[in-house]
Amino acid sequence: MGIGQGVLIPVRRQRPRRLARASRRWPLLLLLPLGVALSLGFVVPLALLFVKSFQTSLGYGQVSDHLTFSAYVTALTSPLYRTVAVNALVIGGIGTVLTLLLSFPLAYFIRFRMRRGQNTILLLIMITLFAGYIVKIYAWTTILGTYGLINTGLERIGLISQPLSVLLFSRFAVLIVVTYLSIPVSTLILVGSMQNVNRGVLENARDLGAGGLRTVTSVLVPLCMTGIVGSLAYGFVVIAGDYITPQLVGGTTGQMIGVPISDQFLTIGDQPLGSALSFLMLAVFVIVYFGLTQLERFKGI
Amino acid sequence: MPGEERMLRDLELLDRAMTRRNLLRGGLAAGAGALAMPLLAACGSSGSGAQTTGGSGSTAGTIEFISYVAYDLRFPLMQKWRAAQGINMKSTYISDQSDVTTKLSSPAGHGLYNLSSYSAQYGPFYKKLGILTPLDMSKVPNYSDSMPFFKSGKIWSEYWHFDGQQWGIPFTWGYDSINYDSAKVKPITKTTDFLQPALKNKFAIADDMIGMILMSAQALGIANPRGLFTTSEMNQIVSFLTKMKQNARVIASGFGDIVNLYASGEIVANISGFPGMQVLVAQKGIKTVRSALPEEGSLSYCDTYFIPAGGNDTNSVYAFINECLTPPMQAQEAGYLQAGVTTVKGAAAVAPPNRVYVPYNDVQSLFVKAPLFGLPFSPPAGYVSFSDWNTAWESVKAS
Repeated sequence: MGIGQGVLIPVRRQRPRRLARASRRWPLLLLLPLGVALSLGFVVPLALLFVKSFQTSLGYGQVSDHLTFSAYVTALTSPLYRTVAVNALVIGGIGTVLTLLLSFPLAYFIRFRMRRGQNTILLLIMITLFAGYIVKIYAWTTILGTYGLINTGLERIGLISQPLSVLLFSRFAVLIVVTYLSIPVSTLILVGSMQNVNRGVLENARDLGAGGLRTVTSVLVPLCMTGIVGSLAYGFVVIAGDYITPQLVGGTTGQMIGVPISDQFLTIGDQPLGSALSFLMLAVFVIVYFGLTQLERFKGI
Repeated sequence: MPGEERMLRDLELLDRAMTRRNLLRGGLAAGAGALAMPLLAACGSSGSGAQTTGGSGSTAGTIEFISYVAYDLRFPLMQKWRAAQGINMKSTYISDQSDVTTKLSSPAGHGLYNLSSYSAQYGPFYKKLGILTPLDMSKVPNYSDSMPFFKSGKIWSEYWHFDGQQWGIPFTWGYDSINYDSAKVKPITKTTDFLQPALKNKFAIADDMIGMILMSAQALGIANPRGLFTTSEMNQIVSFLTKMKQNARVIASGFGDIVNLYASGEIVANISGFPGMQVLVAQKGIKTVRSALPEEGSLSYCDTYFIPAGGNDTNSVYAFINECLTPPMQAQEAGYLQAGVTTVKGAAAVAPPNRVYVPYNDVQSLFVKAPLFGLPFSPPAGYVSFSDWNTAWESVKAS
C-alpha cells in the first residue's frame, strides 16, 4: 500500500498539473489560426511596407534597396502633404466627435429605453453595414445634390430661392458622409460597453437626486468610458484615413491625406513615399489612441 | 437636328454603356452592341481582304492579359472567335498604366502575362525597362491594313517601331475633348473658357493628370511635342490649373462620375473628356451635351498591344492581335471602346453612330491639333520629369 500510495500520490498530483498546463495551452491553440492569419495578413505586410518606406524610389514603381530617410523627409517637409494631412486630421477630429455625439444617445436609447426590439434595432444597424460603401456615398449625393432632397425640400417650403451648392462637393459634405458611415459601428461599440452597466446604478443615481444629464455625465459616461474611447479611436482612424469619400463628395476643397497616399501607390508609383506617409499617419493614429487611453485613466476607470 | 436625334436614339439601342479607358476605371464592363450586328453580318463575309485566323487549332492556348477593363475585347463576336480557336483568356485589370509598369518590371511579374497594352508614349520607356518583346510581324499580317499614321512616319518610328523592330500594335485611339450642355450654357470652345466667372461652380475637372497638364500647356502657349517643361513653365501650368480648380465644382474621379454629374444636374460642362461622353450622357436622358476640341489644341492617346517579356503561349496572343485588326472586329471594337480604330478597312466598317468618336476622314489633321505628345520619362537637364508632373497635379488637387 505504501508503495502503492507512494506511486499513486505523485500520479494524482501530476494529473492536475498536466491538466492545468493543457487547459492553459488550449486557449493559446484556439488563438493560433487567428495569430497565423494576422501574422501573414497584417504583421508581415506591415513590416515589408515599413522597410519599403526607407527604400529609394526610382520612379514608376521601381525601388532601390539603398535605405534612406528621404521619403520621410519629403513627407514631413512638403507643404502639399501637410495641407492634406491637416485637412484629414481636422475632418477626422470633428467627424469623430460628431459620430460620438450622434451614436451615444442612440446607444443609450437602445440599451436603457427600449423594453423590446433591441435585437431588431441592432440587426437593422448591422444591415446598414452590408450595403456597399460607394453605394452609400452616392446615395448621399442624391440627398445633398443641387436637385437633391434637401435643396428641393427647402425650395418647396420657401426657405431658399436657389439651391445651396455648399451642401455637396465641400468639406461639409465629406464631414456629413464620413460621420454617417461611422455611426453604425460606433453605436455597436457603445451599446456593447453599456451592456455592462447595470440599469439599477443609473436608477440609484436618480434616487440620490441626480438629474438625467448628471446621471449620464457623472455615472454612465465614466462607466462606459472604454466603449467611448473605442468609438473615438475607431471613428478617428476610419474618418481621417478615408480616401474614397473625399474624392466622391469632397469637390475641390475636401481632399484628405488618404488620396495622395493612394495615388503614390496606384498612379505615381512612388511606393517608399506612399509607405512613409502611411506610417506617419499610423504614428498619428497611435498617438491619438494613447492620448484617448490616458483620458480613460484620468477618469479613474 | 434630326440626324443627331436619330444617332442618339440608335445609340440607346446599345445594350450597355461603353466607354474609353478612363471611364472604365469605374468598372463599367462593356457588352457588344446589337446595333452593329447587321453590319458585321454584311462585312464579315464580304471578303474584306483581312486574314482571319483559321480554326486549325494551332493557336489554342491561354492569353494571360493585363490592362484596362474592356481592352480584352470581350464582345460576343470576339468571344465566339476565341471559342472556335480554343483560346482562353484570363484577365487582370488595371486602373492606371503605372500598374502595368509596376507589375511587369518586378521579378514576380516576369512571365506571368503574355498580353498587355501601353499608351504609345510609354513604348521607348518600356523597352528601356526590358518589359517589351520584339514582335514577329509575319504573325500579324493584318497590321499592313493600318492607317498610314499607325504604320509609318515619325510617330510610328518613335513609339511602335524603333531600334529596327516592331514592339507594339496600336489598336485604339482618340483625343481629349471639352464637353458642355448646349441647353444650359453657350458653346465652350476654349480651355481658357473654364476660367470665366460664368462657369463658376458649374463644371467638373477630370482627375486626368496628363490631359489636364497638356491642355493647360497649350492654352498657355508653352506646349511642345516632347512634353518638356522647365520648372518655371510647370509652375505656370500649376498656377493656371489652380485657378481653374478654384472655378470648378469638383475634380471628378473618372469619366463615369462626370456622366453621372451631368445626369444629376450638378455640372454643365467638363474638361477633359472624350467625344463619346455626349453619347453616354444622352443615354441618361440628357441629349444636349456636345463635345469640342479646344481652339488652343488638345492631345491624342493611342493604346498599343504588346507581348510582355517572358510571356509564353504567344501563338494565341498573335492570333488574337491579328484578329482584332480584321474589319468586323474593328467595327465592334469602335463601339465597345467608344474610340477610334486603326485600320483602313476597319474604319470603313465602323457603323455611323460609332464614327463620332474620331474624325476618320481627317486623321492627320486631328493629330496636328491634338498631338500624341511625348512624356518626360527621362528628361534632359533643365526639364521636369514625369514624376514631377504627378507631384504638380497632386499639388493642384490639394491646393
